[in-house]
Amino acid sequence: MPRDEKRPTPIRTDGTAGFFDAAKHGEFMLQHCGNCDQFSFTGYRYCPNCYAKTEWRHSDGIATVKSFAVVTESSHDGFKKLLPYAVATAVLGEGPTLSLRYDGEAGNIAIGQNVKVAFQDNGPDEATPVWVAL
Amino acid sequence: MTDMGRVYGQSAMDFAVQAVALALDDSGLDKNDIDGLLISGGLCSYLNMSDAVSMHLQKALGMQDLKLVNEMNAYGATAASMLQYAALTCASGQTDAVVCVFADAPLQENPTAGYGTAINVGTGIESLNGPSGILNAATQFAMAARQHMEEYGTTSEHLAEIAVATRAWATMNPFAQKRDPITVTDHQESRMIADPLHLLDCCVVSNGGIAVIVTSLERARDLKQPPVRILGWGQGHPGDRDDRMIHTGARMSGLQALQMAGAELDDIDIRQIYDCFTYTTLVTLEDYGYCAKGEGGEAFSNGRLGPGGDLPTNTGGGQLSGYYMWGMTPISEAIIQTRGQAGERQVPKHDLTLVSGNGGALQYHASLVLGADI
Ligand SMILES: [Zn+2]
Repeated sequence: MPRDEKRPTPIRTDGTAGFFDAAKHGEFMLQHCGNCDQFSFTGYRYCPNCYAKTEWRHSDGIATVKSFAVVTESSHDGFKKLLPYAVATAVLGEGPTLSLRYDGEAGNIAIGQNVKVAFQDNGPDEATPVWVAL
Repeated sequence: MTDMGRVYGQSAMDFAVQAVALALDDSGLDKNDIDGLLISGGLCSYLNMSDAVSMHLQKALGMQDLKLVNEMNAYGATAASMLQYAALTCASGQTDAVVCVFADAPLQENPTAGYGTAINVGTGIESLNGPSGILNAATQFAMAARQHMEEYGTTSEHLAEIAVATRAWATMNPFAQKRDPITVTDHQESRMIADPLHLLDCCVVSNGGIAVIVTSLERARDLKQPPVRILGWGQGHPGDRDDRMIHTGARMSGLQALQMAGAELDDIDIRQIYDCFTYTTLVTLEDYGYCAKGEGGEAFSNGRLGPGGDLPTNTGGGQLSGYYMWGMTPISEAIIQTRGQAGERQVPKHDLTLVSGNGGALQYHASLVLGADI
């Protein structure tokens, strides 16, 4: 999907540089803790479970939809042209839960369905993660 | 409290000053009697709009050498938390009289460029919501409502019952923004905002300000208004717990508040629930224990929450039909009812009220039990 100048793009921090660098070439990463072996997605450097330092690690981005909403009204010019669009909360295989826009027909999403993270290229700006159908 | 709703020509800070002036006049206290100030802002503060409520309020109020000042934030749970903190400082002797203020002015008469596109951007992982099109709470609460529907069979008509009962109360509240009665059909035919939530599942947006003065019971008994006692409080903050929007912090905070007040649910006469959406009323009452988990859809239908029902709830029209002053909406109506000053919507028995405040996307929750001085 082409970049839309009106839609906001993510803003990187020093702690999320690894995530956004990988996102630029379409790779999805989660934080992994070498101390307790848990995955997390806080964007802050330390593991929320044991407070050891985390590393960014590749993930296949596959997740199961827990719930979704179909947005039918927006006051935001950048999103008006996408209406109706679905937003889904899904649980990644590694554990963390994430809410993203579903890039596909809103009517095609269902609870329990598997989706996968993909990235929308925003040129010089940070790429936006979205769910796509598997 | 100030006038509510589409009131233009002043900022959130102006509403805050006006609310304090009204509260002082209402209580009979003098500005110099106030020695504590707790401050909370709404959308204007969240979106960094001009003249949002801030620590500058002390200067705006011309208050010097206070014994307590703080700007507090647990989103919709802030107001109840402010009253708890104020009560503790009064009880410990640190303060004599603390004014707790909330004010907001997000509605513009002539919207400026960018109005409606203002979002709280955030950084890092927190900055993914805006680009994902998750621009308002409706999207998040729609996901919660859908999950509740999936797990428990709750329907949109169940949510409509809550909207209708709440509006029935609002028809009798001169401060309410929406005062025309509605039906389940009106709800079902109102436009979809974020499926499954219709327009009539969503709260209003308001300009205005509310100030509450907390002092000792002895002092309050000498003032102009009947005292409203803070009998119990509790907090319960699920944070990012995955199932927090179905199993909310209301359970934890409600149990604590009732226990401190030495009360059972059956003793509660009136409920004032933070109702940013119809779903929030349903899930909060469920988690307070008014029905078995998941059965709220049926349990709160057939006018039970409305005028004449056996569970009078959100008797001023709540945030759905009344006014959206975040956690101050339920507190203000609880005070009006407890004093017996609610006019034609007055609930006959108004000795004990359970008040809820929900924050964020249900990450935060604070409860109060307020009571008459009997
Ligand atoms: Zn760890």
